[in-house]
Amino acid sequence: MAAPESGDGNNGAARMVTLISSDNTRFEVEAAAASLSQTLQLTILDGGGGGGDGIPLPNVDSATLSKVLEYCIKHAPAAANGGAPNATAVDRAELERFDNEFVNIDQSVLYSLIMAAHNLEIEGLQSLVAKKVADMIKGKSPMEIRRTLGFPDPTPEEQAEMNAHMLEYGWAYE
Amino acid sequence: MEHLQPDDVVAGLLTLLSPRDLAASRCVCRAWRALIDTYRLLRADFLPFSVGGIFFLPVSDIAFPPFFSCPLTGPAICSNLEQFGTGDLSFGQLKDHCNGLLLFSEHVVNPATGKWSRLPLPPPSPQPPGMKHFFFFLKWDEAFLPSMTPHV
Repeated sequence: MAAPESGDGNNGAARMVTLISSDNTRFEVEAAAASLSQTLQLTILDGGGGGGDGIPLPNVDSATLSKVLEYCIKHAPAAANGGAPNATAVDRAELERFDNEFVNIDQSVLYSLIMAAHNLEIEGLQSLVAKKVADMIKGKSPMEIRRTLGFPDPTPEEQAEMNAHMLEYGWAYE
Repeated sequence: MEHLQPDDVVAGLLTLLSPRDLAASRCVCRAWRALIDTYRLLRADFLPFSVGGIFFLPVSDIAFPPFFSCPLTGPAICSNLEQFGTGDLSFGQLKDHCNGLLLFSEHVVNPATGKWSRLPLPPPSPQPPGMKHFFFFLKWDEAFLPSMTPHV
């Protein structure tokens, strides 16, 4: 979209960087959005990712990266305000609504997001996805947790082990 | 999600869980259990108590104490303690209770698990010097005198 600027103005209108997914798709985003990633932040501060270079992300495929960037773009303005002390209640409610919808996704996507958020060190996204998985666990029995999170059915040996451990604190969640 | 790696990702996720959910997660698989134990995430003392019902201590000579529980869910705990025994076993009259255990003249019974065991024989006189033993012995015989046990 916008032509990459090699200017030095940090606050200049949208300095862009290019990220390259593991399957070689190029994503052009505002540096401010990509900088939500602690991993990318230093590279970007050093002027990397501009021009035709692009920053390769060998651990993140294009489907996941586009999802990650969707999050970053939405959250970048609030992050730029330093945790948004002057954000209005409306802004915050809007972000919250976005977050809730954002993690309302297929489990395999959620799994990829957890890994990407971890690799790219995007703090907000990490806690968002972790909270989503925690919510999926809430109130369930060990067997239900396994099914919900897509674990394969336990082998007889695993089942016996589960049963044995369920005796320990079973009263707490039966 | 089974192959979620590395450990700190899973651990970070588990730290968000309540003690109750941690107790359940601890049974999910070996890896999770190892994490929960290694990071000492589960505070068992914070686990919620589930009250199955209330035993009323008998004031007269009733064989076993009356048990009150929610009529909708039905008693989760067997109130007929006689059933725990092997037929002709009788616990006699309830003497005391502590932490969900019931003390009878010769047995200790856990009504939640249905397990019971026979009390050890009282120490022969003269009584051992330890205050704990002293207290235990006196209480068992229902000769408990508060003034004689300054530590309780």
